[in-house]
Amino acid sequence: MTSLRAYIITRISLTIPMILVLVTLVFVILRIMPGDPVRATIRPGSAPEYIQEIRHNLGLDKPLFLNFRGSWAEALSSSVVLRDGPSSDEAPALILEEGKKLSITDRVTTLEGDWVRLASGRGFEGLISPQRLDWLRRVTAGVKVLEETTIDDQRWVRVEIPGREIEGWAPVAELKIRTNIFDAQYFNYLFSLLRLDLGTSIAPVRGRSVMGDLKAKFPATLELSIFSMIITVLIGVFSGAYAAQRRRSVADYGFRIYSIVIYALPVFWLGLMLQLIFGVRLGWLPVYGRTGTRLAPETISGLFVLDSILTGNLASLISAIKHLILPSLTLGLYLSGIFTRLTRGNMLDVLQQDFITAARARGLPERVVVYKHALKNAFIPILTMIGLQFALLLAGAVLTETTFSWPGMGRFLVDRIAYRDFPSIQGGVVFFALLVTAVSLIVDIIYAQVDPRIRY
Amino acid sequence: MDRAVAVERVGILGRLTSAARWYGAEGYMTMVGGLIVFAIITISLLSAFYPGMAPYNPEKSVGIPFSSPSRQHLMGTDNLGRDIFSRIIYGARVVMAVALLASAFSAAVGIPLGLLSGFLGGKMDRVLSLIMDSIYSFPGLILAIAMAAMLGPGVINMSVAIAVVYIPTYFRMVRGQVLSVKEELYVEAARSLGAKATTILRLYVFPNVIPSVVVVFSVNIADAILTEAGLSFLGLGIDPSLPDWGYDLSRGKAYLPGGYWWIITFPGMMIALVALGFSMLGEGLNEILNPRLTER
Repeated sequence: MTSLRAYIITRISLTIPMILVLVTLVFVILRIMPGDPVRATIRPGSAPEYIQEIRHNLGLDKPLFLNFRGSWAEALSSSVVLRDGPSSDEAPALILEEGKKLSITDRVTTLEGDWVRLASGRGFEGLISPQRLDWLRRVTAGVKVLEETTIDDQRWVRVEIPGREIEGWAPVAELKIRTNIFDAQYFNYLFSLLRLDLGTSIAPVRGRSVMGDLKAKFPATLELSIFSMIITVLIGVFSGAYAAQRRRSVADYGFRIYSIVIYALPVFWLGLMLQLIFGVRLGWLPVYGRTGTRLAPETISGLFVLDSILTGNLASLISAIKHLILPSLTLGLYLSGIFTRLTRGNMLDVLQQDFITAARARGLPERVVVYKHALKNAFIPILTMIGLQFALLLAGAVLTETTFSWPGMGRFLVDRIAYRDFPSIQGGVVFFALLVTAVSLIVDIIYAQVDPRIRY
Repeated sequence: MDRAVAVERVGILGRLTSAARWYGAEGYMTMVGGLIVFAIITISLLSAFYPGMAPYNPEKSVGIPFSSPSRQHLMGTDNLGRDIFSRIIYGARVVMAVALLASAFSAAVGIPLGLLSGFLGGKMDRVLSLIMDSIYSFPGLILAIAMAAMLGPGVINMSVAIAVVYIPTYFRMVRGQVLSVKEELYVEAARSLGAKATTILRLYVFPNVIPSVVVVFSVNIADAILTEAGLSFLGLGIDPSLPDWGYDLSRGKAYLPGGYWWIITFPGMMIALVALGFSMLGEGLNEILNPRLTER
C-alpha cells in the first residue's frame, strides 16, 4: 500500500507542472498573441477613456510578466496635481491628497522626466477639476458634488463618485513609488486561479462571475458526457470484442471500416443528420434544448435525469431523456470508433495468452472464453482509454452542444466568443484544461489501484 | 517473410502501386484513400486556375432559393439561391489550403524540435516534452477555438490556430523514433568513426524518421480538415462570403426545421469523404511503410 501512496504522490506532483504549463499556454494565447480583446469587445468609436477603464478593470494595463514600473504611489508633498496627460502643459484633472495611495497604471519617459498614470480605484472621493467633472457627468450617474474650492487660482470641486475610477498623470519626482514586481498580469492571473477566481465577464452583461456561469453550465455538459460515454462503451467494447473474436472475417473488416469512417465524420454533421432524420422527418425526438418548456425539474444536482428521478417528476424525466437521446447518441457514436479499435487490439492481445488457451482446453464455450475471461482482462486498459479520450469527448461536446443548442459549457464558450467576452473565454478554456487534467489524474490513480504493476 | 523481401526490391513507387496486391485489405484501403486525395487536390487546383469548372458562380444567386436537387442544380440551391454544387467545388480550395498549411506548419515546428529534443536529451528535452505533453493532453479543438478567436478570421490565421494543436503529434513521434534509432549499432559506428552530431542527425537519424512522418502527415491532414470544418461551423473560419463547407453547414442548420436536407447533407458529406480519404491513406501507408509495426 505504501508504494501505491508513493505512486499517487508522484503522480500528483507531476500534474502540477502540467497544469502550470497549460494555464501559461492559455495566458500566452489570450494576452500575448496579436489581437486586443478589449478593442474587439467594444463598439468602434467608443471613448478612449471607456476602453482604458475596461482595460484597467481587467488588469490589462499592468505589465505582462514582471512589474518594474511600480505598483503604488503616494504623494511626497502635501498634495500632487494629476493631469490629463504626461506633461505639465496638460490640464489638471484631480488632486492626490497626502496619505492616499493610488495604483500605477502606466509609465512613460518624456522630455520632462518620468511620468506615471495613477488610478483611484473604484469609488472616488476627492478634488477634481470642473472640466473632468463635466466629462464624468456625461458618462456616469451618481456624481455627488460636496464643495467647491480654489487652490492657486485653480477651481476644484470635491466630489464623491461611487463605482467609478478617476485617472491622471503625475511626474515620478513628486511621488513615493512602491514596487511589487509580481504585480503583473501573469502572476495576478495565477493567484486568482489559485483562489478559483476566473474574473467577471465584459459582454453581453458586464460583471457576471465567470466561475458562477461555468458552474451553472457544467451539469448539462456532465450529463451529456455521461450518457455519451455509456453509449460509446457499449458500442465500442462489444463491437471491438466481436471483431477480435472473428478476426479477418467480414464482420471484423466491417467494424474496422466503421471505426475509420465514424471518426472521419464531422461530429456536428452527424448531429445534424440525426436531427434531420429523427427530429424533422420522423418527428420522434426533439432536436433542441434539455427539456420541454416548463418541464425542467427542481434543481438538486443540475443533472436533469437524476433530478427528475429524485423529485419523482415523471413528466420531466421523460422529457429530459427524450432530449438527451440525440445529442448523446451523436457524441457517443463519434467516440465509439476509437473504442472499437482499441478494444479490438487489446482483445487480440489477450486472446493469445495462455490462460485463454487453457480455458479453451477446459472445453468452455467460446462465448464464455471471449466475453467472460478475455473481455474482463481487456477491460482494464479500456478504463484508461476513457480517461485518455476525455479530452476528445470535451472537444466533441463543444460541437455537439452547439448543434443541439444544449446549454452546457461548450456552447457557453462558443456564445461568449461571439461576444468577444475575453474573461469568459479565458475562464472557460482554463476550466476545460483543469477538468482534463483532473480526470486523467483520477483515472491513472484508479488504474494503479486496480493493477499493482503500475508503479514509479 | 518473403513478402517483406519482395517489397524491398520494388522501391517506394513500386511499393505504392503494387500495394493493393501485396497487402490485401490494407492495400486497397491505401488505394481508395489515395484516389480520394488525388481527386480532391485536383479539384482544388483546377478550381483555382480554371474558374469555368463549376457550373455557376458560387458567390452569386443563380436560381430560386431552396430549390431541391435537380438537373439544373445537382445539389440544389441554398437560402440565397446559390448553387450548392458550385460552392462545394470552390469550398474544396479553402479546406485544403487550411489543412495543408496547418499540417505543414506543425511539421515544420514539431519535427526539428523532436529531432533536437530526442538527440540532445537533457534538460531541454525534459522541458520541451513537458510542454508538448501538456498541449497534447488538451482538447485540441478548444485550444484552436481560443487561438482562432484571438487571431481573427483568415486562411493563415486559421492554419496557425490549427497548427499549434498538432505540433506535439509530430514532436512526440519524431522524438520517440530518434530515441530508438540513437541506440542502433550503425549510429554508434558512425559516432566512433568521428562523425559530427549534425552528420549523424542528417544521414542516419532523419531518414529513419521520414516514413513515420509521411504517415502522421496524412492522418494529421484528416484531423486538420475536421478541425477546420469545426471552427468554420462555430463561426470562427474565414470570410463568410467565401464558399466554405463548415460555414455552409452552420448556415444550413438554421433551415433544418424546414426540411431542406440538401443544404446540410452535401457539404458535410464532402468533409467526411475528404477526411476519410486522408485517414485511409495514412492508415494504409502505415501498414506498408512501417512493416515492422504491422497491425496485429
